[in-house]
Amino acid sequence: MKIILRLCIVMFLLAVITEVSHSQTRASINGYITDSATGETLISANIILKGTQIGGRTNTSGFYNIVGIQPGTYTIQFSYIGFDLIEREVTLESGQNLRIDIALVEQSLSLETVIVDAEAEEREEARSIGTAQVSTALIKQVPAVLQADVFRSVQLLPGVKAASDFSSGLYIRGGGPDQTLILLDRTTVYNPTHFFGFFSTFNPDAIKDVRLYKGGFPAEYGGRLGSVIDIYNKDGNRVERSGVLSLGMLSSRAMIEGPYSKGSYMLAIRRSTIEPVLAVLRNSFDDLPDSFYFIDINGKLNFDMNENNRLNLAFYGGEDNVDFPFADDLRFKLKYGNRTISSTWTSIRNDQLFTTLTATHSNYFNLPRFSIGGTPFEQNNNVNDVSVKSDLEWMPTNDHTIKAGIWAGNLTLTLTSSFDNVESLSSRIQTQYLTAYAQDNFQLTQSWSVNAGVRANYFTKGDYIRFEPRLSTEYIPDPSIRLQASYGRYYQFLTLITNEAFSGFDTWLTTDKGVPPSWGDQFVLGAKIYPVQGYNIEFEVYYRDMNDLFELDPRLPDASGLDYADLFRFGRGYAYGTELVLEKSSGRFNGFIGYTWSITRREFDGFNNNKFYPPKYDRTHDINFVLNYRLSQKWRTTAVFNYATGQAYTRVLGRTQVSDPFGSNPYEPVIVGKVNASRLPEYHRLDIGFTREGKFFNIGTSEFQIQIINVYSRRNIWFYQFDLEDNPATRSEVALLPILPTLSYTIFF
Amino acid sequence: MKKASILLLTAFLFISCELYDQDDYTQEYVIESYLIADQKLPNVYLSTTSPIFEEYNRDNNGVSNATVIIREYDSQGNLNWTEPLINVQNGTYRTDNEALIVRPRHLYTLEVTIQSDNHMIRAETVVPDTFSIRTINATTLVYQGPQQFELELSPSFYPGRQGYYVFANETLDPQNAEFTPFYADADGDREDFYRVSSGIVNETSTGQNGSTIIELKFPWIGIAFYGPNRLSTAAIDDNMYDFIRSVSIQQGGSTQSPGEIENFISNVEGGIGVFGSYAQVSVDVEVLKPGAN
Repeated sequence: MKIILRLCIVMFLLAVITEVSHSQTRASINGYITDSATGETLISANIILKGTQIGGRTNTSGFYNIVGIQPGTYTIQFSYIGFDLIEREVTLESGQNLRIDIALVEQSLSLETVIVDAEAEEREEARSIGTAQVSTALIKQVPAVLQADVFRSVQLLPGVKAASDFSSGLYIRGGGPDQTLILLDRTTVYNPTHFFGFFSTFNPDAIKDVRLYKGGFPAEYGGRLGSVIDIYNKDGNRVERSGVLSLGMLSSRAMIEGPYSKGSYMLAIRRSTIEPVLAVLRNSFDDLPDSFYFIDINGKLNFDMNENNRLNLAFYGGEDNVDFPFADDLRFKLKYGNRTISSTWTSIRNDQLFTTLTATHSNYFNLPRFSIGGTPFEQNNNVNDVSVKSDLEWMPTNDHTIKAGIWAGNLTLTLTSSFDNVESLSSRIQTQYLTAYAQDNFQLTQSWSVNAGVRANYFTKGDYIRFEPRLSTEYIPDPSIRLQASYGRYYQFLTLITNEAFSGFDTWLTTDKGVPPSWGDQFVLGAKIYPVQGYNIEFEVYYRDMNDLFELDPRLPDASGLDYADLFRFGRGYAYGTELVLEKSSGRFNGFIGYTWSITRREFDGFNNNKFYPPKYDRTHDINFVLNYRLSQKWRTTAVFNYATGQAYTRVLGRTQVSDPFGSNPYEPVIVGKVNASRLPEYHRLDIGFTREGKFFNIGTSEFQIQIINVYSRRNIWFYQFDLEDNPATRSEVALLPILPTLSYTIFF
Repeated sequence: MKKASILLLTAFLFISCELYDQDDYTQEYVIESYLIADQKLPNVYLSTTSPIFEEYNRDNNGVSNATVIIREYDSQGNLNWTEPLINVQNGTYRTDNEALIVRPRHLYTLEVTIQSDNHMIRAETVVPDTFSIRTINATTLVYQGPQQFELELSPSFYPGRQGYYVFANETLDPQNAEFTPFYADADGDREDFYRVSSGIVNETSTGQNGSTIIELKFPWIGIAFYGPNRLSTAAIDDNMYDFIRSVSIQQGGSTQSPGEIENFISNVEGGIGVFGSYAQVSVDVEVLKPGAN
């Protein structure tokens, strides 16, 4: 603990270091880039000194910094996708540090040119290898089951797969949901679901930026084997008070944001509104819950201490609550949810140094309660993660962008359960973790750049120290072509007990003695080609392995009294594939086609005769069409079509019967082939949505959306179910979603 | 360049091929026998599996043309006796030797030879130690009343691990007893609930690992009928432990994806099934319907 304390002091010192020597002979520019309408900072906006190769982009705080500029007169271009490009002519003198804060103006929509772009701009960060950015506009536009959903939109990207229509879980490049680190305002979120996994917790009204690192990510991120999804809530409108009110079939949303004397605020609330529907259905159907709702609240308060220092406080709280009396003397109650709070201090220390200091707290809980035949069962599962992290970005010259940071925290996992009012399990795992990283993005030549870094991890549970080298390089032979390569080693100290069909009982466990951290290497090659203005072609090939995977042994009937290592089965895996994106990013008709060819395999000791097998979510071919078309000034339409290889399943081959000495009925074991060696029929689905924009009584604007999921009602199969009470046994198909219309009405004021 | 193209194409075709083929059904021999401590040698049932979409008939699937031998060894590994079993009906083998009693903490082996194809099957079990009920708080209680049946048991010894138990209940008046409310609502035929059992419970779950007492509060969920009931506790061997826990998740485990099934664990060489053993204690109780006198 003393070590942790000392490191916290070092972190604080890192954040308050103010003076770093720098060249006095060259000039520099820096500042924030914001949306002129809202004052919202723009992440990954582009800055370029016209006619030179000098440029940069804003960081996750919307700040940019360009150093080492020869004195002279320049035209600086500021751009961001969907916004008009701004040019500023400046004269820089020797040693001058010029602060230029820019407010970009969103492009006005016209039928012919919806999204215009500039020379070397557009989602610079999203052009990094293995990275994708999902706009909130796309999240709100794409047809979604009952309500707009962040993760459902992310599932449309190549390399990302869904387990089923019922799951918002992210299966990225062969990894399960626990292999993706989910950050909301720099805070880890442990169970980002509502409705037991059907939706993700993130309210699209509250979100500013969603960035997905599918693999090969740099040293500044870590803690998971596979990928990172980094989400930032809106800071709040700094120009005027505004809001959104949305009524939907499943849930309704309200959001308000605005300025105050020292900054801005944002508050967004979303709550399910299906109680009236349930009340009506109860007249006709039994077996409906007595109550069910989910709610989430997002908020952010920004305090501008001065021109160079900003402080914010962000919070999220959400929970699902169900009370379901299935039958006489059988009742099920479940409450689960997340709470996060974080505070970040961002500071421009000088023209070369930008620092952030963040304190976070994340709490996840699930509290199931059963009462069956007069026998109660209760469980209390809590994850508490308190951490502090400090990061710096240092640009000693324009060729080097150095990032470094430390993240220290205390993670407590408690799990208690009782059966028939007698405690049956009481587990409390407490561990401290400490990570430190350093990386340098080095511009070798005008065409070559290298990002090299290392991340060090210390996890006290099991006393593990692990180092993760990361390396990526980019070669730009021509402004329209980027060739990229990346390698990284990744460690993971946590594992998730979950089920793809139900996330309400999700439970996290850690490494310990005899349970070493999982690790893997990732190799990625990529090419990004921009043949003509507004068209992108992106191609990536990846290979990754996974070692020392640890999962709760699914055959374990009772964990009591066992050594910790005996709770798990240990395994390994690998995944490889190619991803292709063809995108038209501008014009009245725009969208993208994403294709993935991939193979994923796992192997666990003592399972499937120690042979590698494809997990259920493995799909060899997966293609998505996401197409937007503006029909008129008021109407636009979006269509999404997905075709994928059928998921893997285990074919049941034979049966037998063995008497049960303790029960009335015999055991009816089945004899199966190799695990998941068969394939369900191929999956395909077309969703379509129409949006009409209008005015709302001169108070604001409005949007009416009608969306149809699964337009031709294809009965895609989730899994086969075998009824052994029939003789011969029968097989039935459990289908995924049928055709499903969704309506919503949204007012912007 | 041409060679490189061919190489690339070959590599692509190679990795595009599905190398993980689905296997076909093959018939297996199935063993079923449970040795109970301090009771006479049980029957052994030998059968075959059926393809999933063909009718399964337990009697028709019995295998009669086999030699079935059980052997007993002491704790030092010395052979005590060898007993050939005789086929009494389709697939059922038994001994007429009433003097052979299954002894706790002893090793038993099963050897089966099927003459028609000269197929050998082997299995073995170590019988859990016997144990006893020390106390019970009451033998007559009102269903879901303020008191539950609470038993104190001596633990059963099993070499190398804590005890694994299955708790069960059986109505002693199956024809006339009235259902308790939960089971009255449950799907299934009446006879499906004559005997109900728990899953596997570790000795430590009773809070008494290594202690001399196991405390069991019998849950009301284990009572399907009012009236006379027999409460039982069984300490099971490794084979039953593996068989029960692996069969129980075939129709869906808590963490497995739907449709992802694995074969159950059979500690049987040359076949599948279970050659298991257990020790059991039981007590008879009366469960009164609330409000009844």
